[in-house]
Amino acid sequence: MAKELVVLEQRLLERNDTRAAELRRRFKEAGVLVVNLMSSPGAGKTTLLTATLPALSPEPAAVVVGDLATDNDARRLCTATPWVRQITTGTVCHLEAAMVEEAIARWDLTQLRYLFIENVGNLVCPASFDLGEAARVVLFAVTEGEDKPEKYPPILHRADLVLLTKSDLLAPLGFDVQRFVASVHRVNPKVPILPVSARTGEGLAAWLDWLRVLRGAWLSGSDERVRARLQLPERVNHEDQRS
Amino acid sequence: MHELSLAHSLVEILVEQFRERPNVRITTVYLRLGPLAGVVESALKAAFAVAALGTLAEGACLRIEHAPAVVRCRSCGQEQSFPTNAETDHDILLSSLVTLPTVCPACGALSLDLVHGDELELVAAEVVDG
Repeated sequence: MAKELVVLEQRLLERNDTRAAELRRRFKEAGVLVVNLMSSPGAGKTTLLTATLPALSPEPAAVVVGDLATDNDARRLCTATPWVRQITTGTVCHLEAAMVEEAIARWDLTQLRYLFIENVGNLVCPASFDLGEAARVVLFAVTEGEDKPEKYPPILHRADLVLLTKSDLLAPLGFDVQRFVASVHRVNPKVPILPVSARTGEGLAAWLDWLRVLRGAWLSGSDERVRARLQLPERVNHEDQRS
Repeated sequence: MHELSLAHSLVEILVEQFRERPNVRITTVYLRLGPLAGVVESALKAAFAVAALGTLAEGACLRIEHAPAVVRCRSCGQEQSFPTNAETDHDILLSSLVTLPTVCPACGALSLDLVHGDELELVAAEVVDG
């Protein structure tokens, strides 16, 4: 039996990436800014969205949320928007473009301005899968510690914004914001960082501004995927306002 | 655990590529893996062995070539390569072994783009007709 070497040269994620590119084209055509929210479980993705959606109103926003089990998150979110779809992945640790495609299949995208994809709570696996998003936002909660970012670098490599959530706990926990910022920038030197608290409302206005400016830039840009390097004001980038 | 999804994608690609050659059996699969791909090699190998069961790739050996990470400066265009350490135990997450610089070593600008390093590519397959 003769051995033969067949050259294939193909990316493993080619199918997912092709599907994601098609989704991105559809989103852009419909004028929907799609944001992929990623974090560990419990960092506050759903809580951030329950505060974000009413604040964006009357601009219509939808949510696709992934979890291994239960529709708890969808039930929490459905008071904030009629457009909610829960994806239960079983044991799969991340969302893939095909799952998003199926989740939004029945929506008229032209009715929407924003679509938030709340990924499965996991700081490792979701990083590899393009979902057709225009921007990636990574959340770290104050309770996770200052050096969490550098412990999980891949999730940050393509992040466009980092949200430091539960910022109302900065003082009680003695959280060192400078150390956190250094940890993020060690992995991704360019990404802006914004402290937010869904409880007190801190940072929410800047977060909404970021979304609105990004949407405008993305829709008017020629790139299929804007690498949103929108800089936030210096103060939120580097220093906790209250310290 | 996303390695299992990746292994399934790999097997799907192989099955499709050799659809026209039903008698082929794959003995070795060559992959290219960047240090920033976020993949654990041993997990991928274990997952591949399972995903390949009952297919033309069952029992095939998975050979992994480690590609370097390369950054390019947006200001001066200088490229810099960060080879993965072949002596290092690849059983841990590779990305933790590469710390990318924040400033360009040539001009000092803070504008480095990643050009290579997140590769996860099927390079070739060694097959026998049988």
